[in-house]
Amino acid sequence: MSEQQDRESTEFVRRTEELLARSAQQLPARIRSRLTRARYAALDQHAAGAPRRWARWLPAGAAAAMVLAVLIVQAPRPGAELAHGSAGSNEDIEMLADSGAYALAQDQLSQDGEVDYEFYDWAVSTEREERGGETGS
Amino acid sequence: MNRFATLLVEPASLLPPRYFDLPESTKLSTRALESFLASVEAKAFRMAQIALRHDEDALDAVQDAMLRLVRRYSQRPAAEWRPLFYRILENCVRDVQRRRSVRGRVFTWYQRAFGEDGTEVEADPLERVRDPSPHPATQAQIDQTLEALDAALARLPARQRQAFLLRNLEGLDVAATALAMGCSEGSVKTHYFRALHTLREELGEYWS
Repeated sequence: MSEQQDRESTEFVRRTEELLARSAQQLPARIRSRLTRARYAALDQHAAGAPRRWARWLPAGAAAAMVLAVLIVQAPRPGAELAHGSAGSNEDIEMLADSGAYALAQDQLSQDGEVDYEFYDWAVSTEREERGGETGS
Repeated sequence: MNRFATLLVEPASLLPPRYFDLPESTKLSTRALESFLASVEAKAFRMAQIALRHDEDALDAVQDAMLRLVRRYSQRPAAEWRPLFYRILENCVRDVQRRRSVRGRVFTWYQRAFGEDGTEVEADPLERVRDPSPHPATQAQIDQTLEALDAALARLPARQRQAFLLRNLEGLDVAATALAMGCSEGSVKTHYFRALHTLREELGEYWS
């Protein structure tokens, strides 16, 4: 290639480069806007692949939730507890509410603090007699 | 992280707030990708536009190339992104050309007029915005020359066009162009000089 042709080629390339660069810089607003949207769509995809900052707490959060769930399942239910102890409790309350019960119990004790078994024998036999009388009549 | 350092020297673009709660390393790579894509998108669009001679198809090809780069190569060193991106873009351009040959003209018209779901496509409001730059006679001359250049480039064989545009529009050196084209440096030189020869012959009258 001669020196003249070489110079012409260089000039041609320079002008071509200039023209192409200008055409890329002067794209219509509509095209620039679309390219920006395309760029952010790609960046969104990149960001979606990465764990978010709050996601680092997910394992700890999950563990805490599991512990809480176990505690809730294992904890005694208030309703069930009442149902269990309801019979005994009612008897206790009745005994406490009966003001004569304490005096009666004291009367049944002998002077030296021992239980008067004769009284119980008498009470049981009296009860049987009364029931026998009722069934007989 | 240091591999993004060279890109961050460029004027830093501000990321939208939706990226604020990303981990620091991801935020850094997102910013680097943002800078890179912003630096190539206009030139990439022009390359696709020259090859496809259609704005919408060119936009599709560029968007596709951006998505593929991010999906497959965002973890690669930033210095490799440029040649990789242009190689992907060329594949996307070829995909569009292949699709074109399959779909018929009537279907294309229907899709552009009514959209894929049959509803009429609203015009982009930006299309109605007037270009503030004046259009003197010199601008008309430039437009005419550019049109001739685009047409001549479009007529070139794909490899020659690619070599010419990567060298003269993107400014890649021979080695990076070879990487982007997936061929040897010798092939790049051959394609480039053939393109240059053809263009000079075709555009002589515009350059005189």
